[in-house]
Amino acid sequence: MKKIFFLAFLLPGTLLNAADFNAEVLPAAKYRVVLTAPAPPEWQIRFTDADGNIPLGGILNSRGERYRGTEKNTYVREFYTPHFAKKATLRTKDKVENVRFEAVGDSKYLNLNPEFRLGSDNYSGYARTTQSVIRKGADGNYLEVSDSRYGMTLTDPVPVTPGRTYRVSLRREGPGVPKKNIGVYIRFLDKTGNVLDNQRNYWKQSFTFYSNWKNDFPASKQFTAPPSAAFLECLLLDGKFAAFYLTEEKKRGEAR
Amino acid sequence: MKKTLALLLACAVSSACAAFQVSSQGKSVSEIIVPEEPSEELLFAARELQKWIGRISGAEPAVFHAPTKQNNHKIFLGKEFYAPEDDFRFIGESDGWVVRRNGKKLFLSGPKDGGVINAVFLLFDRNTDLIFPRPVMDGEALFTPDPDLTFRETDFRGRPSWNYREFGLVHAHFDPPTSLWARRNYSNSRGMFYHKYHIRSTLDLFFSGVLTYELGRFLPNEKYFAEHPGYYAWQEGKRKKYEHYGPQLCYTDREGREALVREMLAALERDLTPEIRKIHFGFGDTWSLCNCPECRKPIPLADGSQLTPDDDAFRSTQYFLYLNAVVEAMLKKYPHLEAETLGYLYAAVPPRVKPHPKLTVIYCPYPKNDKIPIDGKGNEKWNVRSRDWAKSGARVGIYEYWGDASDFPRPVADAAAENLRIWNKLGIHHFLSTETYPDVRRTPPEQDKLAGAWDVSAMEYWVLSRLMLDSSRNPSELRNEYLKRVYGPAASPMREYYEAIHKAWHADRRISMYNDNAVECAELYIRRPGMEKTLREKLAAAEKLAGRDTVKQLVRNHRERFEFLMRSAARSKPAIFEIPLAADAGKTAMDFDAPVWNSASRIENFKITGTRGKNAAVQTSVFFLHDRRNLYVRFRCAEPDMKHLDLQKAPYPGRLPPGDRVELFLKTADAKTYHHFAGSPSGAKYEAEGYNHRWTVAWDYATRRNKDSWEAVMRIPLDKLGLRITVNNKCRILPVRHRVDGQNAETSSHAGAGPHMPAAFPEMLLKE
Ligand SMILES: [Zn+2]
Repeated sequence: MKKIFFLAFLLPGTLLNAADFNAEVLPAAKYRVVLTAPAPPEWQIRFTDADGNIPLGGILNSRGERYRGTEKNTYVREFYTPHFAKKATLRTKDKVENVRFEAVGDSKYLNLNPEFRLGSDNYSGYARTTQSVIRKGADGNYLEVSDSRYGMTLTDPVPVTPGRTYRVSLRREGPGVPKKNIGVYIRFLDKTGNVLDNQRNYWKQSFTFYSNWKNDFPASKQFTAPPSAAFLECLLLDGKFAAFYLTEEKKRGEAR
Repeated sequence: MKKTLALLLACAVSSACAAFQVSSQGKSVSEIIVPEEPSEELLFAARELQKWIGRISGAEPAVFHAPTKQNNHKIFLGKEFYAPEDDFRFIGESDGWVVRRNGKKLFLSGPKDGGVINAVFLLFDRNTDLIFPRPVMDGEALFTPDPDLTFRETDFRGRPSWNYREFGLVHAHFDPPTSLWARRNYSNSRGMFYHKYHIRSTLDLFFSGVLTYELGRFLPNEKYFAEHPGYYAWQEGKRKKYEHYGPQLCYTDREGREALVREMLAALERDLTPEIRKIHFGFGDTWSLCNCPECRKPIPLADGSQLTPDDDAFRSTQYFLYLNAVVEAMLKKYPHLEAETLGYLYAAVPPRVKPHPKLTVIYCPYPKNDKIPIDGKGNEKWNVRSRDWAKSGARVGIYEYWGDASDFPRPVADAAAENLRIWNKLGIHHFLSTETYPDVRRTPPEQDKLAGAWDVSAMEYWVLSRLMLDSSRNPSELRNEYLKRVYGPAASPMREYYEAIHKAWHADRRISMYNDNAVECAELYIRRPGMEKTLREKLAAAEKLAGRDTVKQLVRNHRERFEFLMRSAARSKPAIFEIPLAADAGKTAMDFDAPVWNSASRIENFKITGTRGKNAAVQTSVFFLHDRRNLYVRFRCAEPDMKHLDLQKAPYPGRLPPGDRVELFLKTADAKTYHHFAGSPSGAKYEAEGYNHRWTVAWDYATRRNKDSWEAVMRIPLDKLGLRITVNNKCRILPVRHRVDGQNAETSSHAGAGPHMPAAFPEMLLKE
């Protein structure tokens, strides 16, 4: 039998025998794709602009092993659409079914997958990890970033607006006093993904969650996006994160 | 209609239509295409190409993952779009590049994506006057704006003279602006890092990643020493724990090696990331090796002969046999990795066994005279060793020190270029690193030698960056290129300024090394030749002529550094004490009355040690001469009470004479320790290495008694103390006199410096 690709959009159960499926999307907005497959598939989401072109940053590649859902044979990845996105196209060579592509509802958290609820084998929002794993904990999943030499996790970039203020906070997993403090380094990126400022004083742009703080200690720190900032990403070091939150500080008079 | 025809004709007969236009009247007529999953290198290449086309032309071309339907000029980045077999074969394993145009398509490619970064900057280099003068500068680059930016040279390929090129930062190991400057100027390797953040700083992503381990640390003393002492060095009758500056591992214990391999593989399992391509294996900074019976056994060689422990290459061979096995075990599990170690201390001697083919040995040819190449007079040893390494079959890397002492504009690139060509000719081209000061500004100016170096030596760094990429290039042509691009209308006075220093530096036959002092250089090469005023005027003229504000600022920074050096040189009396050369001193200098002593330099006025300048009770004069191999020191000790000398006890053999004595402390530049010589009026001698009186060397000592003084002359064999006058003619020397008068003892010395404090020994220059 010839290999057939099953795709759908927003309508679970709809079968389509086309390699690609196009849908209108909003730019710089949170979406997720959900699908099922007998074996971990690889897929691409290709974002095109108003002219039908794919500018830099318009292709999101996913390996199924990194985006398992909580149910058997399901896969899910949350992401932000690029600022130019007009259409999204899902493309895969593997056999997938029940594809759903949907906007993620309102959340007070700007970052993706802040409490690792998408699954203990799901790295949505944390695509760039080295020596870091998401594990099952007593009260949900947590991200463990090894304190080894290269252990670190970079969060996916979150769209920001220059001049606005953002707050970083986290909850630590587990009781007791760990060996090392948790370190979070903040980087603002421009539209093309270049880090703003020269990184010489990277240590000033950071938030430390001290190891002797209680795991539910409400610690946080604010950062204001500089001119020409388009994204914010965070480098997470040395510790177990039960949750990692990024929120926007509302200006006086704005509704919470 | 006529016009079109004329244009078509022009195209047919000239190369004009070969031009590849990227912008027209400040509007983009081009786009950049990267693959669907671009590597960090390709992302960087695309962003830089976009940025600098934008800055030069006023219009940034857009970057896409697939070509658009627009009928414009398209620049494709990477081997996904263009992989010409012949060019790729030519490029081989290097980060070489190929640039080819096919109508409205331009391809920038290479078997390694890093080659595309090189292609981007070469494209600018050949088609524009874009230049990155120094890491920290307003706007980062200089260029002539061109709203109709067009690439005319669009058909070339190349491979670097050195596969890995590195500006290794010293004094501050992490400085993104300097590393970015280095990458924009063709360097592809970034040295070692000490903080976790650095590894994931965005810059690191497009440099090749290196993971560094120290062999001895794989076998922690706490974990293994008690139960497996055999893994560690046997010295003085027992096994000793591992120390970085102390005992090393036993390199012949098989079990120890296997344990190390297990630990090494576990460490890699834990630490390895996809970016890491190379593992550096370091060893302790020491000669403290294992002396167990197995480690003292002759080593059987492939040709059937035996390498005996007294052979120069014995320890090196032992080490490389050990390391080869470790590397082999690593490659079995991680075949994509490369390994690296230093050709340093015992391992500096080329071994009699072939180092592993995936192992790079980084050879450090230092210290040497930077004014002349390694085949020049005085540097020969480094040439011989280079040849030996080339013959060893190892993949050889070179570790250089050109960036050191760049806070004076040392024109090191001439000898550097010759060395690079010598090494290339010997087949050495795998890795080249040079120590580099990061462009970090510090205050006050006394502490500003890092940015201070870029104030005056940015041109030399730029020239070195080109030479590492293409060692056949001519340093003076490169300097002219830099001056023209950076200074424009102010290029002439800047050229005259640099040329005058170049000339004075080479005219003076003194050697110049990594540890030159900038203020001293300013004295020697600018003030003494009487050039201060002229050079000041050149810089002033340059500032006046400089067009752009950024360029004016570059010249102003240079002027400030220049004035600081002049000011400091004027203030600091040439502190260095010079010892004249008397080539035939050997024949007569042990004779107190020989005329050769008339040419000696002299020190008087000893101060009591530890008193901040209180004069000694009685006078001492010291005379100095050298004949390249020996140092001659003659003491004349005034003594109002000659008789008390007779009452002193005869010293115990091999111990410091307890009564009256003269002493000489001496420390050569690279020695870890210093030497101590002493003699009594009765002729008893003492020598030691620091306080170690078991150390010995053959030296001569003679004394005589006058009516109201006693005299002594010492002949110290400099070559036996490791001082190579051809390599370094500076040495720290302190003459001391100890006088016992009844119950009172007084120690006095030159300037009152304390004995046994080598840092305080005054520096002296052995004149050629
Ligand atoms: Zn041994």
